[in-house]
Amino acid sequence: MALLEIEDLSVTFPTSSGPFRAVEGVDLAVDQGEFLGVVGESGSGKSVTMLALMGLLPPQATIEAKRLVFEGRDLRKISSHDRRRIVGREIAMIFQEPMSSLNPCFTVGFQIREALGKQGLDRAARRRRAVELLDEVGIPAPEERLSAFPHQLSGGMSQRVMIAMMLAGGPRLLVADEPTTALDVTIQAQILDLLRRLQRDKGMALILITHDMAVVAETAERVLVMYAGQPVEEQAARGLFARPRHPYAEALLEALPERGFGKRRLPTIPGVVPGALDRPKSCVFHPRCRYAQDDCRTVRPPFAPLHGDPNVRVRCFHPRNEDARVAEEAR
Amino acid sequence: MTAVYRSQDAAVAAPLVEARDLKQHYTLKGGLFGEDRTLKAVDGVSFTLGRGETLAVVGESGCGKSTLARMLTLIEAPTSGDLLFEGRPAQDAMRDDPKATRGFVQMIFQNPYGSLNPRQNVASILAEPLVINTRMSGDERRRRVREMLAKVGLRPEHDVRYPHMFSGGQRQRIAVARALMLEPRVVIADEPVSALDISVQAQVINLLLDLQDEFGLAYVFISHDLSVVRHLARRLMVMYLGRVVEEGEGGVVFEDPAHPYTRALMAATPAVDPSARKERATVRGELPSPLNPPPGCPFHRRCRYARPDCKDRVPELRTVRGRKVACHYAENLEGEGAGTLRVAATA
Repeated sequence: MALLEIEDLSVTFPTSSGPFRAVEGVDLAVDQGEFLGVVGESGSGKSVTMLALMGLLPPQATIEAKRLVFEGRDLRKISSHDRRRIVGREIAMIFQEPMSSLNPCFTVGFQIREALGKQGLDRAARRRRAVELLDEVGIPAPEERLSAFPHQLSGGMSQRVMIAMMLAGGPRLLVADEPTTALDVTIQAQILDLLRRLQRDKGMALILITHDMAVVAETAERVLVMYAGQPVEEQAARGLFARPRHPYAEALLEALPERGFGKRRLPTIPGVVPGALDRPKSCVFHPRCRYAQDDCRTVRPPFAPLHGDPNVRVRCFHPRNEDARVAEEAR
Repeated sequence: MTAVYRSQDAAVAAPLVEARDLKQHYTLKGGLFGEDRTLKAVDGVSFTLGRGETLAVVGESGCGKSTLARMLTLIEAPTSGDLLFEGRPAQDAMRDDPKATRGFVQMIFQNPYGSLNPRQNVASILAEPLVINTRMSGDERRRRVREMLAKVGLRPEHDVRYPHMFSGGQRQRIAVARALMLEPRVVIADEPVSALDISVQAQVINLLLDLQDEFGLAYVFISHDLSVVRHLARRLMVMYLGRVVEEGEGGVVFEDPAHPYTRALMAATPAVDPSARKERATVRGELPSPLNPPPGCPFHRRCRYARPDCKDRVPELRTVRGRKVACHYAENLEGEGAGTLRVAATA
């Protein structure tokens, strides 16, 4: 049984020019101990999806879903009291800006002990546990760091402290929203290694949200690609990078400088991501798609298994790289 | 007429920009009882840049690359060292003809959301350098603004719009257009694509390449993203704690990095290929405080190849295997090229 199941999730915000669907038709499942990457450009709805799961959206947002189940418990039906027992403990989240996620007025030790608060530990035990947690996320001299304030820490150290706080509740699922985007590349490598190690050692499921294809290629087992509020492709990481099936995923990979090596001009995706109110009713990508045909302009394709294979799902009538031999040669 | 920086005939053979041992040291006041301390943001950087060339400056936060940009754009005068524009000291040129000198070198910033004034429309943003530095008439300025908008791929009739009406990529095009209004010879680009989405990043990279071809621009391209640098620049300069640790042709450095820090940077850069996963965190610890840099080689405490004497002697730049590198043991780092940046899936 999957740890987390989301089916047909949509999020709507009221705006002065009418309701805006930030996210629609999100289907996703995460197994225990699995590493799922969610990639998309800004405005693709990847963060809103996860904030909806965490119950962190503002009250005016309307969240609808056919299924929203964590470990067999229906998150749509439980009371907010019960939800709080799950969120923050069994499901934890870390964010992009570690510097602004920590409270600048309190020491690191205070904030970690606070996260440990409800576990029935006495003062001394909480302190011991806080030192253990800091040690576990690779902070040197953890005893001394307890009395440090957030401004005395670098970005990488702050993110480690955030991860330690998240581990305090012993989560089954960690949602990491662009955890390394604000960090330097050598520090990014350290934090990604840390996340991978924790996921492996603790059997924790991990959802990594990022705009960076390389970060996903480096870490995730399975990848969900989102565009304009909808998932457009989902498959194993190796499959996606070798043989993308949705034209958007294909174009995104071609636009990377790593893949355009040897060419002077990089391939680009013409046009821009549609704005809040001009998303097409049919396929959302068709105005920018080289392969669009008449059916793409009239009907929205379903997010469906490709050729009956449940491990590859694509929202496209005309998937790319159908010929596996051609795909192999292109590699 | 446009104010274009005109060189004296004698200096035509000189490189567009030459930096000789540029240093920027800031003094931090120690307060009532403390001692003043010196922060060596840039500590001895030299390079030359010719017409139509691109020099990439690579390094992580705190390495001094943005301080270098401020010196090159004459926002700050260096503490010591010489900066020559076409063979002539930039300070002299600035004193004699500040308007023309400012037109010689222009800058593009990282964040197009912060670098454009939200209360000015595009026509006014783009015309401002012309108002300040030239004597063009209003009609002439309007014509030039519209021409430039078309050159950077925006609709000329959108000159009445305000920055918030454009996407991030379009805003960066406006910022590029503004930098080009005075027809500079040199453009300093400080992380110009790192705030942009991938598909938009590719568009802006292409634009920068096209404009370089059209105007013969020389770029100093400051970035932390090695894959972008590899695509754009022929020459590469890697900085660490205010010093250049490796400099050379991109091809040479990328294929066979000689400095342990360059290797670590390349190893840390994830490959876009799930079948090429490996351990990437090859440097220990974090950047030391630039106020209190380690003695000897500034990198020795994080270096996996460090030997005992690295903490005693400061390595100077010297030529090893066709590039300059500041490492005592660049010839014999054990372990094969631990971090060559692999390029995934190229035909």
